[in-house]
Amino acid sequence: MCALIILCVMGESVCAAAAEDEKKANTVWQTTSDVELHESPDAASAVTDVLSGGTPVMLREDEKEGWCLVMYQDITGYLQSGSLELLGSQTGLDSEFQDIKEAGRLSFQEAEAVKERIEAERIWGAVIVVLVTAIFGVGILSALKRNKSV
Amino acid sequence: MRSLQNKQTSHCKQTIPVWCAATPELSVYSVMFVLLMFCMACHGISKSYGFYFPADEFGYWSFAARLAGYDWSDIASLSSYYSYGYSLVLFPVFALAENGIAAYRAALAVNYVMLAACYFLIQRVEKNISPFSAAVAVFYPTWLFYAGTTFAEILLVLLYVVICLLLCAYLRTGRKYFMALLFGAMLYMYFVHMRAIGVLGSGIVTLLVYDLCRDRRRVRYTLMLLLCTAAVAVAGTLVKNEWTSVVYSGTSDGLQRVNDYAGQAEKLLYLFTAEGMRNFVISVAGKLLYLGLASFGIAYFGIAYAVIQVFGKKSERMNCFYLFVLLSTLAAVLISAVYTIYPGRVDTLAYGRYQEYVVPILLTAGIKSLREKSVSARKMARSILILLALEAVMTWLVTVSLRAYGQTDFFGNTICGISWLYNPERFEPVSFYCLAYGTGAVLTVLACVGIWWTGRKKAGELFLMLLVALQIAVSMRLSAMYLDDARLGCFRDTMIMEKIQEINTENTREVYYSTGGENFGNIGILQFMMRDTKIHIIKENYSVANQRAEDLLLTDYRSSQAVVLKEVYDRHLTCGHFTLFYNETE
Repeated sequence: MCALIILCVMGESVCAAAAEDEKKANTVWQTTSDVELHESPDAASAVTDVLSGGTPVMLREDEKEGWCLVMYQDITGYLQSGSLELLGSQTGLDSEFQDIKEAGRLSFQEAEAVKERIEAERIWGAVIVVLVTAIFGVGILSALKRNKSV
Repeated sequence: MRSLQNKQTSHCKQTIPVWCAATPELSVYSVMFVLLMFCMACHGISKSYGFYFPADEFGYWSFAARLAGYDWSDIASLSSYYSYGYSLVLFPVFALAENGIAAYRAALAVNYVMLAACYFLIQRVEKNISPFSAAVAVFYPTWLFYAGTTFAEILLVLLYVVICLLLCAYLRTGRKYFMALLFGAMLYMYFVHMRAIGVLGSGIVTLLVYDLCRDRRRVRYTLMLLLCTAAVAVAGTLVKNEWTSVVYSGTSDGLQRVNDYAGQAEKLLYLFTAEGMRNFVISVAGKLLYLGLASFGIAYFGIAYAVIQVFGKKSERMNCFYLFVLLSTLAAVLISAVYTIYPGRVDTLAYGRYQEYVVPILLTAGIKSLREKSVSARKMARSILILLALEAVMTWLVTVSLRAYGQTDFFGNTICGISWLYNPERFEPVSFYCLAYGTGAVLTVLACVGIWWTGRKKAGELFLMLLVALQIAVSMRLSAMYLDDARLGCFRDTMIMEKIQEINTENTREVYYSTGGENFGNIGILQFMMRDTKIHIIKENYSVANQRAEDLLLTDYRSSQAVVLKEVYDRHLTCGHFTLFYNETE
């Protein structure tokens, strides 16, 4: 009975570990070394491309019989699941996405500020042009007035 | 308008400009020029958040912050020494402002107020200086550029104009308190920036010459005042040493000496070598070339006018005021030439920044000489040709140095008068100086001939206004080229500041900056913005063992430490000049 309980606990922990390591669709992994992409889940099938080590890929389907259908940019193909490792932990990825979100928020804030700045520049630039023109205008009027009186 | 008064003595005949030569007419033009200055201020200030050149500007602010009770010595230790004279102006601004951004903008507003003051004071220095001539002197592109930063340049210009005014006052009235004020102003200018030692020396020589010519009994008084000034200078130097040991307590000796006299001794020794002498001649040529190109040739006419006033056969009188102008110009050029004697960057060959404070007076003198009725067309043409030929020779000398040493680095802010021609995508140093010469030659002919031909007529004033409009356009281009990127960078830094304040609401987490053994120097921007939070500097490579998990860490955004630090900390944020690393806390 005790052995059974221990086995169940071990199984659970293995399952828990396996959960993170399971190559499920729509998860992100990275290649461990240079690896060939195949047309079909067969080592003899044609090679469509070669990915260098450390390339992040997204799984299009769950792992089947040691093969995974992956996507990298606009390239799709099959590679052996042994050549994939976790890109990062779930927690790490969550943090990274939060950082990206934060950076996005700051970019939006910056864009708003730049827009306001350009607006203010246009207004003050126009006022400066008007003032310079006004000084010319006053000067010309004054010269004409002087000529008239002479 | 008062007429010029001549005072003759048994020893020496001299023309003394009436000290209150012309009460500046509070005319429509003056009001409009002040409004124009106000608009330029609003155009620039609203988009400013922090430093353009952190090393220099932080140096000036660090003294002011120390006076206000803040200790920024960690960060001040990353750069060399800067004089504390300008810090005395910044201190009340810093103390009264709520935060760093408000303080910076207030300091810029003070710059524009000082420029406006220059506009009115210049009209009092000489006779027949119209509002338009004063506007050409004050709306000089370099001043409009530096008014958008907290460099000491605007204060130096104002002090130089004030010194000229006090000198004129003393020469006119002979009153001793004007001389005392004059010594005080020259000494303060020296403590604002050490390169003003040339002004101090020129002033002393001028006053002694004046006394010897006018009344030898006054020499005793002048020497007594000189001794008092020397005593105050010694006291000021002791204060400087004391404050430097506090503000720059962590700075290495070598770095501290860069901007101090101790750091110039080697250059003086180098000057007496064959290579040093050659580089010195080229350096002087570059400075003189820059003076001409930046002022559209008008400064040369100002120098010629000053020479004629002092040495001209036409007049038996010696004009002490123009002697001072001449000596201070010469001193400024020589000091600048010695400081930049080593072949460094492309811009150090011209390095206008160190001598441009004499330009406003040279511009007004030049405009005055060009408008003299006695200048014939033939004389004018000959003068222009000689001027252009001299500039061509000086340009050639500069290109000799560029070909010999192959400089490629370029800082546009030190040569604002010509750096508006800089194109970073297609930059070639020799071509740049040739382009500067070509453009400068065309503008010189147009400006000088235009001023001469229109003369004192109404058209003359309108032509000067055209020059002012051109200067404003050039200054806006300079601002767009050099200041706007820096301002955007500082705006992004405010977002890092806000993030730090958001994470560290109770101010319990220490903030560190790791240099990683490199010195990018921008951390002063952030410390200035977050005045109440001391940023500690880690000069060696970052070590996890030394930090608490809850502390915040900053690095430069270019730092190579980021790869490692991203693994150590939970979160990171890159914005502006920095990357912030921190751990999530509950």
